[in-house]
Amino acid sequence: MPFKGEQEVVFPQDSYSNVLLIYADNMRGKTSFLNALRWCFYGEAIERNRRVIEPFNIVNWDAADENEWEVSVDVKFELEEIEYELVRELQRKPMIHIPKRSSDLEIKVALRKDGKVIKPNEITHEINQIIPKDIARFFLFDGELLEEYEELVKEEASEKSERIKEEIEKVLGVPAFLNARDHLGVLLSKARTQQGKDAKDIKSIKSAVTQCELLEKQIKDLKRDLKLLEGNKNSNRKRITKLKEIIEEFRSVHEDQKDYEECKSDLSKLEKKQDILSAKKRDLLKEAWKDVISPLVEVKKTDLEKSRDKLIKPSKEEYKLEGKIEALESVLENHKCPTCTQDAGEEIRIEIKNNLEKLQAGAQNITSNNETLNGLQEKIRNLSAIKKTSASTEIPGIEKDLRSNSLDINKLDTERERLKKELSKHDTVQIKKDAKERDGLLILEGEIKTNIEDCRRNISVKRERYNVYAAKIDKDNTAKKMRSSRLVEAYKGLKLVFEDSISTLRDSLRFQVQKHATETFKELTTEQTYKGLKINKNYGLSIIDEKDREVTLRSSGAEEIVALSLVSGLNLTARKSAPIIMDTAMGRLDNKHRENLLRFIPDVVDQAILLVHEGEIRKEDAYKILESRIGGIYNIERVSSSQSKISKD
Amino acid sequence: MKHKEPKTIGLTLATKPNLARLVEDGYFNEQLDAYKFAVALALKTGRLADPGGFTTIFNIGTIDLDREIYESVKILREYDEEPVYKTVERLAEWGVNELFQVSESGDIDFSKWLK
Repeated sequence: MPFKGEQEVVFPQDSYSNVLLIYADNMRGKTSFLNALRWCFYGEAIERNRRVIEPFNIVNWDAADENEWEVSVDVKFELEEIEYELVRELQRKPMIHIPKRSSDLEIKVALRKDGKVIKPNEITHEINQIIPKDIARFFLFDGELLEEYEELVKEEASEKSERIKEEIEKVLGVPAFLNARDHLGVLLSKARTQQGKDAKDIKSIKSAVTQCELLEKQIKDLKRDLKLLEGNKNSNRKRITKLKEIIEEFRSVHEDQKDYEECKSDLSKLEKKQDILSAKKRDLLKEAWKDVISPLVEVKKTDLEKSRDKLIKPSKEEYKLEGKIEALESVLENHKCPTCTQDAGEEIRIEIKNNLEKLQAGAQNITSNNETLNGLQEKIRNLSAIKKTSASTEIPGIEKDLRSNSLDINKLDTERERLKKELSKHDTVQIKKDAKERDGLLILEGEIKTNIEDCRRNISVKRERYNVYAAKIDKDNTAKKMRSSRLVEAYKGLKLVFEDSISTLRDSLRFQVQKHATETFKELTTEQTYKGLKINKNYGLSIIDEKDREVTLRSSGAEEIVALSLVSGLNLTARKSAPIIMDTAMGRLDNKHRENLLRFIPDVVDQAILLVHEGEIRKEDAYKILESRIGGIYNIERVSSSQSKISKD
Repeated sequence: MKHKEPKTIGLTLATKPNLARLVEDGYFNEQLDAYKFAVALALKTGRLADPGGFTTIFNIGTIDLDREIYESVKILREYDEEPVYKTVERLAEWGVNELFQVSESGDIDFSKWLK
């Protein structure tokens, strides 16, 4: 509740200027204002999805922070010249210093009627005399109620539309007749049992009596089963609703849980990837030492190759030298030149001998260089065997990926820890269990529904058979004379009367609702050719055009007009007089429809309180349309994100 | 100069656990791989530990079956006053300690040594 401190709103007192406009932006407290009234009368504040707000959450947060837990709504009103004052208070229980939950708070209600204090145990009854809770929904309503009523238009009866129909009929008084009919059914059944007993000795209908007894017992058993199934269905539904509420309440926890699971899964995937990359890196590192020394090897190899090349050149000369030595040795041996065959004299041979000695000395040097060359060749060969692996090309990429993954892992790890911490504040195991339980119950609900249908079908079949045999008993002249048979006849007749009456009442009520709703619709709609509205058995309304055709495609604005017309129709049919308080009910209407609605409302209700925002209807437009019918304007203004105040315009 | 080569090779007692840690920390599959990488790293950096105090870890046949390390060190070292595998030990000693120190101050970035 955004309101802290005292807020006062005076509803219009003038029967002509009977419209009160309360302006507020979204999230400022329009619905809280409506809820304050609802809570004061019926002890229930309702949020979205028709969920009841826990008393603990009604208290303003700022006030709670200051340990101020008192909430009070005081409504003074007049009905049929009697003055009432209704006060509902929420406060912390004695001995509770700081409330932690709703059970730490208590609610007190007080009602004065013409200054006289009404006994606490009579207050609810008194309020129901003023305006019953079920009927109040036609006076205190919001867009959500209108949306609910749009469900009624569907021809095919859904469970929701059945429920709304029941609620409508409750408001319109149908259940009183339904109860009477059912009670007559019970009396008839008892009379039938007695009739069976009395007719036991009548030979001509003995078999019919036996069959009736048997079928009655079977029907009774089936009814018991049906009751049990319906009970199960209801308790199942209640549990599903409760679980849905719990799950909804912990939606953020669910999201955190989901994020946590995703986080864990992503983390696990990344860690696996990291493991694979690390393993690959380790495999590559096995031979990576070769890559580390590869530049050294290359430099060394180049140096060695250069040295080798220097030694290879003299080696070529050695070949030439060997030829020369051979030639000179031949001259010295044969005393003749091997090329020109001329004789080599003593003098020449001495010179050749000297030359030969020099050449032989040179050849000696060359042989020793060859050993060095071989050594160099071996080194080069050995170095060439040290081949670079793929490590130098692959490891940088792998390490880059590892670093990037590592960053992601750190981020995810931090997030996981945060979520874990967050989740540790809640019982996540229980939340998971709740979700599982809900899913299981939803399946069970389907099964129960099927069983209920089967049971009903069975009852119907057996009832038909029972009626055939019962008719035989009824026709028997001896049986006719029995007191129990006369009672059966009387109850049968009465039940029939009630059944017809219910049908007539329903038709009449539907007709009334249709009539009132059509009147409202015609005031509100901008399409003048429309003939009106037609009601279906679920109290759903369809638009009928000038050629008596049903308008099947309706805009959301039209849906809202029809729903408003239904509310108005039900309101008028229920014959209760109360202010109508509408919360943001014109959201989907265009300007013209909005104008029609604003013009229409002051004429059909004693007081109209419209909770609106500027986007719905601007103040200047409201003045222009309503003029002197405006009995007052209030604004709900922001004080802080958790506080608003109401002030007169 | 021809030296008699040892049949085993190792590290000092102080460095031996560091080699084990490099494997435990997931940098290498085996101590053998870390040892060889350490030798190469020291060769590349031109650093080596002082001689002496080494204990046996591997058989030469296990660590250098095809004598690639032997040949590389023999050719790349700048002196030959000691057996090649003694130089290998000193290189490994320095290299293992260097790898360990780097690992202690964060993750080992192998890429920078592979350029």
